[in-house]
Amino acid sequence: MRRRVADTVAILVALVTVFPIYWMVLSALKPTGEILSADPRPWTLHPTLDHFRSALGVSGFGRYFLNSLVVALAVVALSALVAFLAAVALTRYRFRTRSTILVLFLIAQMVPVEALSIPLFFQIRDLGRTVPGVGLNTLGSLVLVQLAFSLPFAIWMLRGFVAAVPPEVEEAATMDGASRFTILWRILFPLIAPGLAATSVFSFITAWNDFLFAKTFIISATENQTLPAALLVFFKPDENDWGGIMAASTLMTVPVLVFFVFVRRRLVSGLGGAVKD
Amino acid sequence: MARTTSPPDPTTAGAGGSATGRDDPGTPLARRADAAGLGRARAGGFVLPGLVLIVLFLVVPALWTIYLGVTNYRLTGLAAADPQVVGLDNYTAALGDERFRSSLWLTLQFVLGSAVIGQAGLGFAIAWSLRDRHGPVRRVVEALVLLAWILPSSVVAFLWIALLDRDAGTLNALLGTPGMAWLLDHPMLSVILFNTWRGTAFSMMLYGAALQNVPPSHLETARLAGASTWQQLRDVVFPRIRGHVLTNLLLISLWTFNDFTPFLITAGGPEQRSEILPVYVFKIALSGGELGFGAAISFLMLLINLVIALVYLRTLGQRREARR
Repeated sequence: MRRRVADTVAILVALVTVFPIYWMVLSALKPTGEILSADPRPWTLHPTLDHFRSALGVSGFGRYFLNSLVVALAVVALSALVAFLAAVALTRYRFRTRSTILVLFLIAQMVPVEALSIPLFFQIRDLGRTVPGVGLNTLGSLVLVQLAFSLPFAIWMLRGFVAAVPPEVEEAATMDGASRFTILWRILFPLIAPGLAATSVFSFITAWNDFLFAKTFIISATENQTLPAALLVFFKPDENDWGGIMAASTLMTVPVLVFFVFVRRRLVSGLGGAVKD
Repeated sequence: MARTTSPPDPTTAGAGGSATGRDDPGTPLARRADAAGLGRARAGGFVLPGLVLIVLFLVVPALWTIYLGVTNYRLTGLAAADPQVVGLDNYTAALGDERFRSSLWLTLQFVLGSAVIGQAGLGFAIAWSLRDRHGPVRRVVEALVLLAWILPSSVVAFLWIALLDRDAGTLNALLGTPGMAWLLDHPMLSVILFNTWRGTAFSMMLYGAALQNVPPSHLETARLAGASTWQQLRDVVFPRIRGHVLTNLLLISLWTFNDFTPFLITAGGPEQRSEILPVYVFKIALSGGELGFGAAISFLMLLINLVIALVYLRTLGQRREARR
């Protein structure tokens, strides 16, 4: 009985949660007449792909989509690599400056991003004059800055996972004649895979969703714009093209879902492991 | 590789693992400090890329922000070409500004309402009610709640505008309250509900993992002894998951404090009634061009974040003391 009540409550919460998302997909499939009807029904008898066609027809949609994907995947891969190496060194090796570095990472988490976008704009502009690939209007600038912002959290998370691997495992491998490279990539790396899954979801979502940096750095080269920023420019709620907005939003959600389904299994255990004390 | 996947040899594993190895000046101690055999140079090399990126794109702009905060730097006009150092003028102006104080108050409401009460409370409730389930119910509920968390901000902003719109809003149609302007009449309530909806998944997952550390036999014993649900939570569950609770509260408080997404829904309006601090800074600095003043307010935000973090860390530290 008690169990049934708990189940019902949990399912209700889940339904309320998913409602806006259901509505998004529904509106994307409804014919325009039904969307604007004064008596909206939570289903449709005449699903249509018109809105998806018109969203994909917006010039450059595919291009923006690809840009976002390239940036997000580059950030995930680089962030996993850099954070993994840093986490191993910061867990396994006792620097004298170790706690200073860790506190620095924690404080870095607290800086309001909006504030940093101003100095970052100038830094990226100046950097672009020396290194052409990462200046203003380039995808490289987005990768670089997103990468830096994903690192503090990733390193903090992964540290917990590396610490959970008994040092004896590495010691035994050393005695068995495994090289340091083997120890890192074939022993430690697979063991902390759940942690990497959790941090990857984080960096993927933040990179894929970002519009602040895209809006700040990509000023004139519209061909290098990313999807979230482009979406806000091309679709405006007051124009009432809700079908188009919802179709574009649905399309934008797909990669996040795919990525998420990919790593979901490991994610929950990953989050639990990161804060074991 | 085949050799290394076999379970570690107990004799070699035990050599450095026990407490006796601590006092030995020979290899075990040295290996303790450097278990992976990295060596100083290699360990430094591993940290370097991450450290350089963080210093370059987080620390340097943060310090720059502190500097900007004591100048009258503007995006355009005379002060853009030749900014002057104005000392603490920006700070006294901010603290005396009615708009800043009301923004700060709104931000505290936002953090308390949507993060501490909304996300953490609801997240715990879901995790608690799902704690001994492993079937499809649990998977479906978790997946649906997670969905709200992983969606792109610009997408969820559209969804919530569509949901709460006065004329064509789905909520009005469903509740039978046509013409109810949720975003105009209750802007703070709207963004608090929005952020609760958006972020509950994180707390749910964290608490879900934490509750697995509570042995079911302890709960069983407590129940047999006649403890109410509240007493079970307070005396059996909470002491065991306190670390998780504090970590969760710290993270979601900081994230919510710096969250900019409400801007996409209400743009801070109407009449600045949902203008939380990140939105305020964005408007002052990037839309208004008052970079110096905006930077000063950002620094104040950073200080408040530090205070929040210190309070949590102190509480966490006290627990460690008490356990010892």
